[in-house]
Amino acid sequence: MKAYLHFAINVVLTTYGNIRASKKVFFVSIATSSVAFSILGLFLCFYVSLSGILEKLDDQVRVIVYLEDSITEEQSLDIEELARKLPELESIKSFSRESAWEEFKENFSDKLPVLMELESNPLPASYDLKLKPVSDSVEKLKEIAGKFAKLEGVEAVDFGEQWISRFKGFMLFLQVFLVSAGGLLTLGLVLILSNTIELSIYSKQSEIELMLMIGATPLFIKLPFLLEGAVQGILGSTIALGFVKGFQLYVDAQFGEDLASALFGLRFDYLPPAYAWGIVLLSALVGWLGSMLSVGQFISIKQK
Amino acid sequence: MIQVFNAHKVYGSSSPALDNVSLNVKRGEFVFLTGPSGAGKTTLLKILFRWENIDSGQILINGVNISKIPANKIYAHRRQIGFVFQDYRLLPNKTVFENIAFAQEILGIPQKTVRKRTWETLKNVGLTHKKDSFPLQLSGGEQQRAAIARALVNDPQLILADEPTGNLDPEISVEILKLFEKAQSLGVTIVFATHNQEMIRSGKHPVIMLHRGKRVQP
Repeated sequence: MKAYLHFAINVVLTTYGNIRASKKVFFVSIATSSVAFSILGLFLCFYVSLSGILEKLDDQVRVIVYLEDSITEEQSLDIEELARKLPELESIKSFSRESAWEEFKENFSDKLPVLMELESNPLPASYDLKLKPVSDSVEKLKEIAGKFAKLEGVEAVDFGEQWISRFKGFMLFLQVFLVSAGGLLTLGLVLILSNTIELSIYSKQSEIELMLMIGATPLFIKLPFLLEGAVQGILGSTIALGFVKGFQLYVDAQFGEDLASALFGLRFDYLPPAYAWGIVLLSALVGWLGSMLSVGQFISIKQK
Repeated sequence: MIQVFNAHKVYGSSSPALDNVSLNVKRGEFVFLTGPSGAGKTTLLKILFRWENIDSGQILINGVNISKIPANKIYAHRRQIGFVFQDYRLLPNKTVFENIAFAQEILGIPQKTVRKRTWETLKNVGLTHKKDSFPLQLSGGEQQRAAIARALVNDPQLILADEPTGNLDPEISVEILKLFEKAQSLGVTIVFATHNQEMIRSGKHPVIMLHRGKRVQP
């Protein structure tokens, strides 16, 4: 136990010595990794915020069944009966042609003044069905809409299929983009940190050679460099998370209300704790891997 | 202790650095390894140390075929050997005491033992008064004493010395030679590479001579 503790202290002290010996390169590499992690963090914030909208949409799933002008009372009751039998139904509202027109005028009189001058009411009567959140909403909504469309007296059924599909497609694209950009940034960082550690290794080349000659184990030689890489990564990502938080607070304070009213209640949120810890963990891994590349290569050349 | 059978080594396309060299060094023996520059002395020492590998032949140290030691286990082979270089190879940012302690620390030896052993070894090579000096504050002879102390401190079975007196004047060289002989008297096997013919003639040790990579009669 004492030997392990002594070993650990030795590794930490050697790491500290290595960092002190190449301070400038160490800080440049932290700055580089913090820029890369800031970019990743901002993309993730954007994604998380948009995901919030999607969740809200899923929470507010609506099907609007527009009725023909010539609908009979019996047909109207059939539609209502079918709606009430749906297990996904949360609430149902009925709008007559007149009430729909009144609500339309109330909402759009200042935006569409030309329409207000119409003498006849162009809007149909409708049922507004609010549904419970469903796992695959678009497919489920399609199925429900299909049932209503078959009924007599139904003119059209609308649930914003195109809009939701496009938004979900965009989110999928964003996911692919994030994974690709994140992957490339991570790869770039591994190479950058690997080069930094390589400089640190070359500055201690004679010491490492001596350690190998005296009989130090490869692990004993590698660990301080691996730790140095991990420290670089963690410091870089911590600075990046601080920057992203600052940016998020600024955007929220300056544009929060405007964004929310223009984009369906969009808030530019900070990363959830799991994402933030994930970035820190990733950064440690990236630093560790970068170091492993350089020091592993160096030692394997010397051990040949 | 050391058995070399037809060791052959070529660097690139040049003539062989070692050309089917065979030799035998008994446990506790002190041998001079000599020959002109480029004879293959350093190559042979590096091979015994597994810093380099032979192209063909076989080398046994303590009965172990060292070519067969996997790369991740070489450290165990090197721990039995102390290596002394012509250019000392002391770490300039560490004091004499720290340089010698470092050789033990990297083997995970407890600090208390490290301090005790370092002090004893410094006493053996007559350097206690310089323990807090940095290598560049020492004379060549003192630096080589520190390097010998570093090689001795882990109680090696074998010491390989590559021209340890090459940079020293004759008087100091004799003192250094005596330190190696003292180690031999304690049972350590010594292979001492030198091209100093005067030193070889004044000594009473067997001589292995190399010339252009081949073993020749001294």
